[in-house]
Amino acid sequence: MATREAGKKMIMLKSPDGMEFEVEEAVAMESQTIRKMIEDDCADTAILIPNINSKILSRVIEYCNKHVPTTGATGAAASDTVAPAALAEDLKIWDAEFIKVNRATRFNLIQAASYLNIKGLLDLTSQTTIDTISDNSLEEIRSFLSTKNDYLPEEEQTIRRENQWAFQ
Amino acid sequence: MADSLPDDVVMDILSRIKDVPSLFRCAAVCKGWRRLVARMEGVGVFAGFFTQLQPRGQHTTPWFIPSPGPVPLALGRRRRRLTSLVPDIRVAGFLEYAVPLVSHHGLLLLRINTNLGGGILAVCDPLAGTLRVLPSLLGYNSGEDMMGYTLLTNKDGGSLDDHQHQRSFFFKVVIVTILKNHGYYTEYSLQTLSSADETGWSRCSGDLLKAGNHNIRVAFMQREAVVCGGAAHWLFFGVPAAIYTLDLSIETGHVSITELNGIDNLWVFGVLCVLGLRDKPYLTADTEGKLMLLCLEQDGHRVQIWTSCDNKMFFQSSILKLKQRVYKCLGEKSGTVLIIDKLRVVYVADVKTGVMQEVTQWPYNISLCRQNTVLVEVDWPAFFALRLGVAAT
Repeated sequence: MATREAGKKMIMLKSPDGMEFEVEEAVAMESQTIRKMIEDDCADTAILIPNINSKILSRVIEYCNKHVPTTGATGAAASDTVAPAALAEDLKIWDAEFIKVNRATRFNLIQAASYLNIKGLLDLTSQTTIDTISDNSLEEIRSFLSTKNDYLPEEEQTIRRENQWAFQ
Repeated sequence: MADSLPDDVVMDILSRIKDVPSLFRCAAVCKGWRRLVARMEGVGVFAGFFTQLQPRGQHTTPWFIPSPGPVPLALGRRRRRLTSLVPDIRVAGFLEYAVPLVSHHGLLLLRINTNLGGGILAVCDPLAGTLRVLPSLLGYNSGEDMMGYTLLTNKDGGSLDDHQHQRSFFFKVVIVTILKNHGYYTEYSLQTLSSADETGWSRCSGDLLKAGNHNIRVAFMQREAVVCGGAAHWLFFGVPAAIYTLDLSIETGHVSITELNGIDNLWVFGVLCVLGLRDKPYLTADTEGKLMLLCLEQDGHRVQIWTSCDNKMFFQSSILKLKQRVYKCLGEKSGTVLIIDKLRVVYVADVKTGVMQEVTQWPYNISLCRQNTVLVEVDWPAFFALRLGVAAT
């Protein structure tokens, strides 16, 4: 990844706070949204990514860099030395490390993955959120999501009383 | 922070949750999420079945037998009487004499035997614990006369279309009864009862097949209809020898007949079934809403699965291999097949994987047949909406 072969097409991604990221086209095309822009020829110079700040965008690019298929037309040999299973395992560990971020960053990543339509990243971030929801009580879910409880106390009491199966 | 997540992103997350209590807790987080959960596409999950536990006794109280599947059930994990699901004692008394007929979207159609002969029909919502009695049918004498039935709800489209996701008791019941038996052929009538609004019922009836093909003699193979693609389909064996579906358009009420094609020697198969020499094919719908025909092979180890894109031409889409030898296919719902073996052990099998699980709540000494087995699926989002005091505003 360090030595970039000549002839690889580069794409410039711009965040709304003015930062610019130069990435390989193959990496950028991990995002279905950007892929579509490229294929429709709307992306000759630079693509402005709205709503995603540079901090998040750089993380998204980091993810795409890691996940871009190494068996490209030019780099076919690269992956032959590593067994696919080992590679997948390696990616899994990398993903687990990657998602160890605070809540705000994770939500931003979900939104970015959703907007840019990066399936792998969306799966990863959503699943982490679901795991949190599955394993925690209602109060913990609320505090995790920073959501305000707008049920009336008596409403909530009734819900809990009548639906104990869900709160065990 | 979650407030800043757009609704469609939250929906995406919610739709990934497969575990029912978690989804329920999400709906209980705040009203916004409850609204989103209620708006989710209903995913039917096989919950169990209703049947009678004393086939020869005087009382035919229906029992609910829960699925052994991984779904935690609001209905409980142990078998229970239907009466225990309806808190109103006056109503529950009625249910002592009820025969479950068909279930759709979590509602249950029952025939309640009375001293007055034929009995009355009622629709029960076991999850909400309510029961509504239907007006009596015209020219209806006994349960034996009732050859086909179906239950339609808001979600089936047609004139029942209703964008409010309230689990209001809004449904249509369609009944096919024998009008006149001419010996060598039978005339049927079709009656529709609809709970159009809270105040009254609308009813329509007519001679079935008046407009259709008079030359086909009809013998129903399956009393409950399969509802998919805006129509209700009943499977029947007919002469000229073939297997057909009787199709009722939900939107227009138009009735037509379709011969099932693509299956080799299906009519021979049909004859064997009519003579009781083979397990009848079971008509159902797959998860994409296409008609699906399940045929248990004679060796009892394999179920052929036939599907159709146009409800007419069938092709064999897969074969379900079963670990245990089974005897009869009792029905299918939401990708789960209910089967029984010669020792009267009842199993559920996953249509895709064939993984079998024993229904532990079923007592072995009783046999089951399709007619007294009503499979129930639960549409969780609708159920949550109800339990959380809906109003999907």
